[in-house]
Amino acid sequence: MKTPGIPRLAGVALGVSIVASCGPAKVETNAKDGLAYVLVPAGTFQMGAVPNDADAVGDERPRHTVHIERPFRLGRTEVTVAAFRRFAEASGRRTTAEMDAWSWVVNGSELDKKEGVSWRAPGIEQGDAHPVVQVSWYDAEAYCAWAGGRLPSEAEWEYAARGGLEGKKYAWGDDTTPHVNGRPHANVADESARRVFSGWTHFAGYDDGHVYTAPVGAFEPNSFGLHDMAGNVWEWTADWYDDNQYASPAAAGTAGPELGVHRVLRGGAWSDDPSHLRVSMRNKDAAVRRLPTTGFRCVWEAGR
Amino acid sequence: MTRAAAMLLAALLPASLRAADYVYLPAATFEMGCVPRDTACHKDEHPRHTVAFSAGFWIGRTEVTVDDFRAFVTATGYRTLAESDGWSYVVERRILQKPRLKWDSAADGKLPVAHVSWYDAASYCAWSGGRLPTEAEWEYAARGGIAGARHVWGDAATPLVGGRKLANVWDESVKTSYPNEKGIVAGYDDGYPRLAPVGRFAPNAFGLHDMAGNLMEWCADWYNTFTYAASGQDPQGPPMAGERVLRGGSWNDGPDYLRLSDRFGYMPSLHSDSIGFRCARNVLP
Repeated sequence: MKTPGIPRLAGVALGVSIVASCGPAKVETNAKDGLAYVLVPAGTFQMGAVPNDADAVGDERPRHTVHIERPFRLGRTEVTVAAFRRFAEASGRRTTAEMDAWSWVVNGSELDKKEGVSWRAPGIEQGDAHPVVQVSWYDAEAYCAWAGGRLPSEAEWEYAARGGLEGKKYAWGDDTTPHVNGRPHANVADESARRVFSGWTHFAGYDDGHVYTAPVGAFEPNSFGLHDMAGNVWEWTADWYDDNQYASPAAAGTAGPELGVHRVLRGGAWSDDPSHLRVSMRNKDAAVRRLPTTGFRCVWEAGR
Repeated sequence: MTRAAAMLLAALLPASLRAADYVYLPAATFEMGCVPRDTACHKDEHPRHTVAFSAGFWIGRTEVTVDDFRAFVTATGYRTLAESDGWSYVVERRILQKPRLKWDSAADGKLPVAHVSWYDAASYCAWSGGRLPTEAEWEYAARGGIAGARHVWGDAATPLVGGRKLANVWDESVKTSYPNEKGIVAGYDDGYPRLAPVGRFAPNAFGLHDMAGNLMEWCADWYNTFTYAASGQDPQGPPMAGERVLRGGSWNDGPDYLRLSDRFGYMPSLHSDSIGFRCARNVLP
C-alpha cells in the first residue's frame, strides 16, 4: 500500500499499514460538541466492491483507487443524543422532523408515519450516550458546521471504515458475523433484534445484546480506532448519490457529484442484515428523510 | 361581502395599518374552493365549502422580499436548503438544477425572495414573530371579500381590469425570450418576463399585492386532494402528509394555474425560481 508523506505523531510513524497493526490513534476532544475525534492518516485505498463479493451491486463498481491527500479528524463515534442536545440548545435550530411535526417509526418490516416523533422522541428507547437518530441530512450538515466541521465525503467515509484493511468485505474483516476474536464488533440485525422483529433477515447465531441502537463505542473499534463504522445507525455523508459515480474520472478524488437529488448514507444500522453491512454498500435517501435508523458523524476541521 | 363593502372596510382601517407591511382581516366566513360554473377546476378544489375564522388575523401586504430575507439571515446566520444543496431549480424552457443559485442571487432587493423551501419560509415567519398563513387564510385573503370570482382580479380573462394591470404572469412579455411560447395569458403584457418587484401591480380589494402571480406562495398546511371534505372552522389542513400547499401561481404560470381556487402541493424541501411566500400573524408586535 502506498503511504505518501507518512505523518509523525507523538513519536509514532502513522502509515496506513502501520497504524493498522500498532500504536494508539491520536484522539482529541472537540470542546464545542464534547465528542472525541480520531486523526485518520492520509493514504491511498481501493474503494468499492471487493473481488468475490457476491452481494455487491452495480453502484459499488468499478473498484477504483482513491487518494486521501490529507489526514482528517473524524468522529470516533457517531454523534450522540447528548451532543445533539447541546447543538439544539445552542443554535435554537428545529430539525426537519420537528418542523414537519411527524416522522417515521419502525412497524415490523414497514415504516409508519407518526405525529410528534423527532430526535427528542425517536420512537425507540434511547439514552444520552446513544447515537442521535431521526435527523435529516440538513440537520446533520448544520450540526457539523456548528461543531466546526463538515460531513465526511463518501470516499473519506469508506477509507475510514476500512481502517487500513485491504480487500475486506466488512469493516471487521471477512468473518461472516461481527463476532471476531471473541468480541462483538457491531450492533446489527442479530438474534436480539429477531426476538422482536421475527420477519427480519439477520446475522444468524450472532447476538450483540441490542434490539435498537446501542450506546456509541460499546463495540470494538476498527484499526483506526473508530467505533460503529459498521452498524448502530446509517451515517449521512456529504455527497450526492450517483449510481455511476465510480466510473467517472473524478472518482479518484474525494469530491462527490455537484448535483443530485439523494444523499449518500453508509455503514448499515441496528436493523440491517449482512448484505447491508458490507463496507462498500451504498445507501441513499432524500436529504429531508429521517429515520430511527439514521444518524451521522462529523469531520472536525476547526483550527486547521 | 360585496366588493364595495370590502373596499369600504379597507378604507375604514387606520391609515397606519393600511400603509403598513401587514393588513388586518377581521373574523369572517367565506366560501372556499371551486366557484360555480368554473369548468377548469381540478378534483382537489371540490367540494366548495364554508370556512369560518373565529378570529381576525394579519397578512403580509406583499410577498417577503430579498431585502426582508437578508435581515433574517444577517440576524440569525440562517442557511437555506438551496445553499446546503448547492443548487436550485430554475425554469429555462424546462426545469433544471442550476449550481450555486440561492435566495440572494437576485440583484434587486425589492424582488420577492425565491429559492426558499417551506422550511426556510416557516423559519423566516417564526423569526419575524408570525407564521405562514393557512391555506384557508390564504384563499380568503386572495378573494379580497369578493365572493364567487374565478381569479384574484375577478372574472376577466386577463389581469387587465379597468386599464390597470393586476398580476405578473406567463404572458406576452415572455415572448422576448420564447417567441413561440404557448400557454401564455394571451393579449396581456405585464412587462416582466420573469419576477417583478413586489407591489408593482395593483392590489386586490383587501390591499394585498401579487396574490395572483409573481411567486407561488407556501402555506402552512400539508396538502392532500381531499382536504375540503373535512374543513370548517379555522381549518389547519390534514395531518402528516408529504407535501405542503402552494397557492397563487407565479410569473411562470399561464391561465390554467392562475385560477384563484387552484391548489398545488409539493415537497417542503422544494426550492425554485417560482416559489416564495408571505407571512401571517395573529397580532402585530
